[in-house]
Amino acid sequence: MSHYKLIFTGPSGAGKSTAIDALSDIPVVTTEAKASDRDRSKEFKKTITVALDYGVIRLPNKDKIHLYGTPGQERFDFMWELLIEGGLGLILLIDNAREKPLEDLRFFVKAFEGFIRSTKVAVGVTRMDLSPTPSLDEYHKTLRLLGLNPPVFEVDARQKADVALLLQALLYTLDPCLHQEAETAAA
Amino acid sequence: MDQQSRQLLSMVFKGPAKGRYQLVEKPEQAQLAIFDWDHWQAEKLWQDFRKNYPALPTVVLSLTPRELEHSVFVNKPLSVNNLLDALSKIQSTDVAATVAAPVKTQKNNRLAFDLAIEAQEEAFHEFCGHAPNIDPSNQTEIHRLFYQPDKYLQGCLQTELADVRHKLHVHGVVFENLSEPFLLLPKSNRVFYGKGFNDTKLHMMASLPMQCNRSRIQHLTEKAVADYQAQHQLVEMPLDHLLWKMSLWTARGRIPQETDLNRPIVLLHWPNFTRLVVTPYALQIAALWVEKPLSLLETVRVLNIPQRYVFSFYSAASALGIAFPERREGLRAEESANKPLPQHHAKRGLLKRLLAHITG
Repeated sequence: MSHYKLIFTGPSGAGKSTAIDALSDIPVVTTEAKASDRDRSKEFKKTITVALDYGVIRLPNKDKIHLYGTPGQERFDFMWELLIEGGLGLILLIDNAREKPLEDLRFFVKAFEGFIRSTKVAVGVTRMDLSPTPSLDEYHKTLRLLGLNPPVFEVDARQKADVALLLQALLYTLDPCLHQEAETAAA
Repeated sequence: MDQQSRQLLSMVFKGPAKGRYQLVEKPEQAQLAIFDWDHWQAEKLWQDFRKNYPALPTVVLSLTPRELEHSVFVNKPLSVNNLLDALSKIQSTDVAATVAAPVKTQKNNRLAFDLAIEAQEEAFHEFCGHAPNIDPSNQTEIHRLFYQPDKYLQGCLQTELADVRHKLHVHGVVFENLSEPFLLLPKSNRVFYGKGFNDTKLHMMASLPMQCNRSRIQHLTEKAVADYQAQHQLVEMPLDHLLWKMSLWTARGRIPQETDLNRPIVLLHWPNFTRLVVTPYALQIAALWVEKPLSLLETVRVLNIPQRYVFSFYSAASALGIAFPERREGLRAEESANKPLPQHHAKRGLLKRLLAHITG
C-alpha cells in the first residue's frame, strides 16, 4: 500500500474543502496542525494552530491518495512547502466573487511556482454565477503572462462532476496518453 | 446492428439491467455477445464470428430454436426479461465460467475508465458520427473527411459574429428565417432563443444544409435588443456553448473544408470543459495540443484514437476560435515543432487507477 498526495489551494472561501469533500471517500476532516510561525513584525516565533482540510481517495489496490487543502491565509505559506512535498499535482481554486481574483491567481501561482513547474496545475474558478467577471479569457491571459497554459474551468465546488473533471484534466496534463495501456506501473 | 437496436439495448442495459451490462464497440472488448440469427447472412457471420471468438459466451436470438456451442438461445419476439434471463444464465453456466475464464480475468483487469470511454463513445455518436478512419492518401475517400460550415447554420452564425464583432453600434443579431426567435448578443457572449428550440430541434437545424439568407438577418441596437427580449419568451445560453454543440452536430466527426491534415494545430487554451460537451478523448487532445502543436493526423497517431474524435474536437474548438493551424513562421514555429512530445508519467499506473476511480 502506497500513499500519495494531491494538493488543493486557493484563497479562503474558494471551495477547497467542498471540492475535497466531493472527491473524498471519507467525510472531510479539518485537522489542526501545530506549527511555528514567525511574526515578522516582532521577529519571534510563536506556536500557532493551522487548520488543514483533509480527505482521502482509496484506490482498489489499497493505494491511498491523500487530499490536502492548504490553509488559505497567506501567513501560513510556510506550511505549504511541507504539504506539497511528494505531491502529484495542484488544484488551484479561485473565488471569482472576491475583490481581485486575478491578483489571487497571480499570488498562488507564484507561491507554488516551483511545485507547478515540477508537476502541473489545474485551475477551477468558483462562484462565476455570482460574479461572471473577470472572464475565463482573462484568466488565460494572466496565466500566459506567467508562462503557463493550464486547464481553467468554471467550477461549482459542490458538483462532484465539475471537480472530477478538473482533476481528470490535471491527470491528462501530467500524461496526455494516460488512456493507453500502461507499459509499466511505476507506482 | 442498426442504430435503433443499439439504442434499445443501451436503454435496457441502463434501465432494467441496472447498469450491469454495457455495449462495446468491438467483439474483442466483449465478455458476452448477442447474435441475431435471423440476419440474412447469419450462417456466414456466425462462422466468421466463431472463427475469431470460438468461446465467447453468446446469446443467440432467433425465431427458430437452435443449439449452438457456448451459447444460450432466446426465442423471438424478444422480451426484456427473456434477454436479461439469458444474459444472467450464460454468465452463470459452466460454459461461461470455464471457457470465459481467461476473458473474465482479462476484463477484470481492465480499468473502469476504459469502460467509461466506451460508454462515452456510445453516447457521443450524434456528435462525432461513426465514420471509420480514412486513409488520407485515398483520393476517392478523402472528401468524406470534410464539410463546409458555410452551408449550414453554423457557418451563418460564424459569419454574422465575425461581421458584427467590431461594429460598436450593433448589440444584437436576430435571425428571422428560423422557426423560433433567435437572438445573438456577441458582445456579452450570450444567445437567446425561443423555448421551442430544444436540443432535438437545434440538432436537426444544425445538421441540415441551409442557405444563409442575409436579408432575413437583422442587426439591433441596444434598445432594439431590449425591446426584442421583452416581446419574446426566451431561453438564455452562453454563445460559446451553443457554437461548440452546434459545430459538433454539424461536423459529426468531420473537419471544415480546406483544413490541412498535416499542418500543426495550435490550441490557444483549454476549452471550459465543465460547461461544454466533452467528446471522447477531448481532454487528452487538449492536454497534448497546449504542450505541442501537432497535426490532426499526428494527433491520431500519437494518441492512437479514431480520427473522428480528433476531427470533432478540432471542428468545435476552431468554431470557438481557440484552435487553428499554426500560422507562425520562422524561429517560433521551429521552436514549437522541436518541442518534445509529453513523456509518459513515471507514476502512470497510479494515475490510471486514480482516473479509473474518478470516472468509474
